[in-house]
Amino acid sequence: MLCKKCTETAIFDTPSLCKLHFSMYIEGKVFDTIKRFKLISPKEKIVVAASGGKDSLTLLHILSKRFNPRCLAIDEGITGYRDNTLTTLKEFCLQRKIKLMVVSYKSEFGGELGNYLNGKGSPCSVCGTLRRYLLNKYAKGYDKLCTGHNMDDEAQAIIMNFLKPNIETMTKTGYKSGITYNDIFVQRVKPFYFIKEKEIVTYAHLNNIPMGFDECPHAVYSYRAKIRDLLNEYEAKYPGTKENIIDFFLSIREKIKHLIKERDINLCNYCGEPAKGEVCNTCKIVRTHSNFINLSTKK
Amino acid sequence: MELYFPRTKETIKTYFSGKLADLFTKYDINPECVVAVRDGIVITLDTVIADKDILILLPVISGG
Repeated sequence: MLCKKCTETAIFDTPSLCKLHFSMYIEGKVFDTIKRFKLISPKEKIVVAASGGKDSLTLLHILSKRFNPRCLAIDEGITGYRDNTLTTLKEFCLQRKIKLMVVSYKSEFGGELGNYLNGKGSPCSVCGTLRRYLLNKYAKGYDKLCTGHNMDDEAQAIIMNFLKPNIETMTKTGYKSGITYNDIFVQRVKPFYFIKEKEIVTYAHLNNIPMGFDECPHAVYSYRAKIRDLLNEYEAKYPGTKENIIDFFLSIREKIKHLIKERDINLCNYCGEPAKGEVCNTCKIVRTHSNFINLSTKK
Repeated sequence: MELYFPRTKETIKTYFSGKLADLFTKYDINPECVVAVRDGIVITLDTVIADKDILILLPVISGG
């Protein structure tokens, strides 16, 4: 198969593009998304939430072409997984002179992820709550927090919220988080919103971006993993499935937003971070496992 | 030919020549879940594979 832009051999099926034009296509799509949806303005201070996996490293690589991103990583203390990806991330940032800040559950809360799991519920739900808390807390001072969420992640989230069902969460998803910048929230933006995961792996390989192939040991048990496999099966049989889910969601998002009553955001009685009630979800988790409360997180 | 899976560091040795798409069908591999690399170059589903080839199948899914 030949590239549809030149006479070179194609390295990707849909769209059929050669190495050069594929990289240009991905970068163009990312910067078009940023411009079209006003994700980042030229003078804004941005920080990338990075794990050291292929999505965040590729995002840092592409954003560095036009912006001056800093990097924020969270160490959950998942031995044999996060220590490996953080080693990759540290080397990557050192080589490219990107300023990196690593915050750990251990230093912030007193315990590692395993200390906050009680065998009930999803580890990903607990981890996600703690991670989002730290990302928001340590991204303060920046205009935007950029994440490597891609089209696959977002299509999965839409279907998960639909099946649960959780309309309130669904209306807050999208290429920008629903909450605009204020003193307590840093707006999250997703420049890879329209990029498929397979495209990111291909781009990373073509551009010599390091790729670890480890999967979080907790992820295999997640509901998301089941939805991910289902969508990949559908995408193979019915190409365009993921894109159609995203397009459909974007076409109805504004229409369903008004169904949800905006809740007041309070400040947590213990840590002073955003909370729906008097105590934020992170403090609820951490205080349930009181042996690991880090006194420094109290007011 | 050889198929190498980097995550599991597993190698499958088999006799095959034909299109990559047919190889995926034979081994029930979802093309959405891997990127096939031959001699360092990413290849498309219509690429003809020879029995002497070594393919690395990069997993698309990783992370959390």
